Amino acid sequence: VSRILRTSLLSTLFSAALCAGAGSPVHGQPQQQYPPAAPPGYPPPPPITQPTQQSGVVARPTAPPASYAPPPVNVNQYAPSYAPYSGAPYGDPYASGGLTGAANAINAQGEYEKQFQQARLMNQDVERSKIDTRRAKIEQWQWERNNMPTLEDNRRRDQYEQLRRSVNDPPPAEIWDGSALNRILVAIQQAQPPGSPGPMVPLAPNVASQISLTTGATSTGAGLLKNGPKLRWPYALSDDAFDGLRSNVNQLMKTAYDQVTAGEVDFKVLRDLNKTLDQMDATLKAKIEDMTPTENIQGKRYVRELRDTARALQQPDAQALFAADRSDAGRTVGGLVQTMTAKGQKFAPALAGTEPAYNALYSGLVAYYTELSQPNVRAASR
Amino acid sequence: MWLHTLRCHRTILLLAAVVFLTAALNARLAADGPAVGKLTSARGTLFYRESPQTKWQVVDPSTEVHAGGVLVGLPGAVLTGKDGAVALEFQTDFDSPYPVLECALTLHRNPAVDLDLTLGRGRVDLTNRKEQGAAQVLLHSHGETWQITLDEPGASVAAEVYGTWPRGSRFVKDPGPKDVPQAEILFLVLHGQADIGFAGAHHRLTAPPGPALIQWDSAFGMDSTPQSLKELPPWATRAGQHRSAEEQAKYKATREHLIRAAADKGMDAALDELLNSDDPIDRRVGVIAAGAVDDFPRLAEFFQHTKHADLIETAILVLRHWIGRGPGQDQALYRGLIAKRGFTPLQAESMLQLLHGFNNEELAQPETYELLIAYLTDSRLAIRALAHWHLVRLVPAGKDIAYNPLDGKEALQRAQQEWQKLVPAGKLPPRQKPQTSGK
Repeated sequence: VSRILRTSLLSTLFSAALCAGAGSPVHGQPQQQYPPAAPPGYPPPPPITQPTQQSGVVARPTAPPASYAPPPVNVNQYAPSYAPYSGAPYGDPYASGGLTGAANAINAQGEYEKQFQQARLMNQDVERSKIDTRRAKIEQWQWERNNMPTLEDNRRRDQYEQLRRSVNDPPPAEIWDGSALNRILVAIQQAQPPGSPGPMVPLAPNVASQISLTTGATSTGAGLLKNGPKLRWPYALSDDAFDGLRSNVNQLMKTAYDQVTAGEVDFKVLRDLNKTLDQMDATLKAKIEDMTPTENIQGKRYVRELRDTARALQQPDAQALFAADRSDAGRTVGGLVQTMTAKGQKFAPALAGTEPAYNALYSGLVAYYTELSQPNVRAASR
Repeated sequence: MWLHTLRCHRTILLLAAVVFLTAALNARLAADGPAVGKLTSARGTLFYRESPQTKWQVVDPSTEVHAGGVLVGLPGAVLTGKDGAVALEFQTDFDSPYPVLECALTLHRNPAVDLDLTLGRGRVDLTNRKEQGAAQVLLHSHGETWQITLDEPGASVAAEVYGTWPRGSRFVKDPGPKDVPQAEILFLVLHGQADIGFAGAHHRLTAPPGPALIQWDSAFGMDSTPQSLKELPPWATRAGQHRSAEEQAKYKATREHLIRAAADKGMDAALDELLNSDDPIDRRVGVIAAGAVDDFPRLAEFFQHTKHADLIETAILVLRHWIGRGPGQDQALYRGLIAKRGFTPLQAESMLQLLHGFNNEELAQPETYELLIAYLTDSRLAIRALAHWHLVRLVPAGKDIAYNPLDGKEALQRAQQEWQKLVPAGKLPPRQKPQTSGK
């Protein structure tokens, strides 16, 4: 019986070896080929060292000697519970020993080869990832370049916000210091095609003459000498304490006015004017408790406007400045804008008492700009 | 002998006359025609003055209140109208957005309605106390009349009157018809339903949620429709008070103290106790109460010796409320400062100008800020304090600069230098940059 069993086992192993050698091992599926399935009703074969899933290398049993006859096949149908291989009493050369070691060595070699190839693959993956990252960076940069605001975008947006603030009921101070008017003026100049007539927005007769203008290169206009050398002193500075100082300023301003109309103002005139204004400031400070707050503010404001006028007289282009500020630029907003555009002029801060004229001009400029920028809306509202 | 007898008779007659006059004066509240109201809260919560020339009297709960004169009530003072049909509760309002501090009113005799009153200033809560049916109230203020119908028992309406000088209005010594403060009145239904009639039009109001609020002002007249509210505003329910629990407890204790002191010792003594207290809340309530009863001589005297700067802020607030009560108030203060406090006309005018504030033209000038900063070291306490009051409101960035108008000259100059650094001469205060969208 034992001979029959040994013969049968060797025959099975041999068949298995032949089958294994007939085709190359399939990676990941060595168990499906080896060992071969036992015939129905036949006990399962003894355990043989199996290849790992990772390597895919399959151990191939050595073929038996030619003189070895295979045992007959079990046709007697022994009971399935019969375990002929338990304890391996015959020293089976296939259960352990040199073949298993060789298989392990081959397996290790295969494992090494595979790990080496895997490392190369991983290296390629790293390289691919590097390229992907770089591509992603470039794409992100392109996206940002296309979608994020540039410095110029930010600047234009700030300009737009400032214009919106200027058009939508700004603080009075921004109208009277000319800043809101200048922003709307620039917006009109950008929106209106050169030479086109623009909307018809009239101005009251005396408005344009009260507006102070600069040459565009200065921040102030001709100041208190805009309409001639005669100064109109406020109540606060009409007190006796200011008599002498008022008289000096009147005289110096007249001289300066005559000189600037003819050409250049004498240095000594300006020096004396500034000295007199310093004295006026000091007198106002000394009399702070003898004046009401309103009187004090009016007095100090007038002295500041006199100083601004003196500063305008000191400028190299004073003559041009005074000529520019004397122009009465028409009775419509369009006319005023065209004149100022042609001469490159800007609005100067309002002088005391001219605030109502600035308010009126502001309303006119807003109406003009609105009609220019939104003609359909304006037409519909009419 | 006959001379002695004559002297005795004269003395007796004189004493009798004094006793009679005193009794007549004490009983005046009860002897001037039929009663129109009755105090139902504690003694010391309500004060009465027949005219500006007479002294304030504490109204006793047992005394019926008659038509005429002015009534000033502490918070919690409650009057009931004829037959108790309408309850009128005096309210103070320190925390509402409206410039209202105390409440003052005058009752009128009018058999046609349940209560007829002129609300001079402040807030009253009117409640229907009838067993059933509507209650009628006629309310006058600033030359106009409103008919209030409290539809059902428990229906309650808050009426609030205040006056204020519009921003930028100036003090003028010879005022024209336009130189008057703007008056505003609001009606808010607290409970139930009410009908507000004005100039022939009637508005149906209900407690929130619903159309609960309607307003009138002297510039634009009555709202065409009431405002719908989801719930009562915080100021109406006291939920909006910005006070800690300790502060609320302290205010309540101060109120109780004022009521007790006024009931026991009279209004003058009660005010003195509060103004001389070591507690700032006591002093604050004292200043407001003194303003409520027009006791400016007492306030002026107090300020000459005070060491508490916190009160000056409150005093400025009280004075600004006082000149906004109605036309001519600022003129009365101007004349009073000259006649009773020895101010020169220039000083009085300066003070009134600073109390009014500045117009837009002035606020656009650097000189205005320069002047206010110069005033910080002014020799006159009132001018210094008013200048600082304006500066911290016009230039909030300067709130951190320590300044006490009661400090010595060196400390005042240090603060002035700090302000000059913040707002240099010839410059306007830095304004906030416009916000750009998307940031």
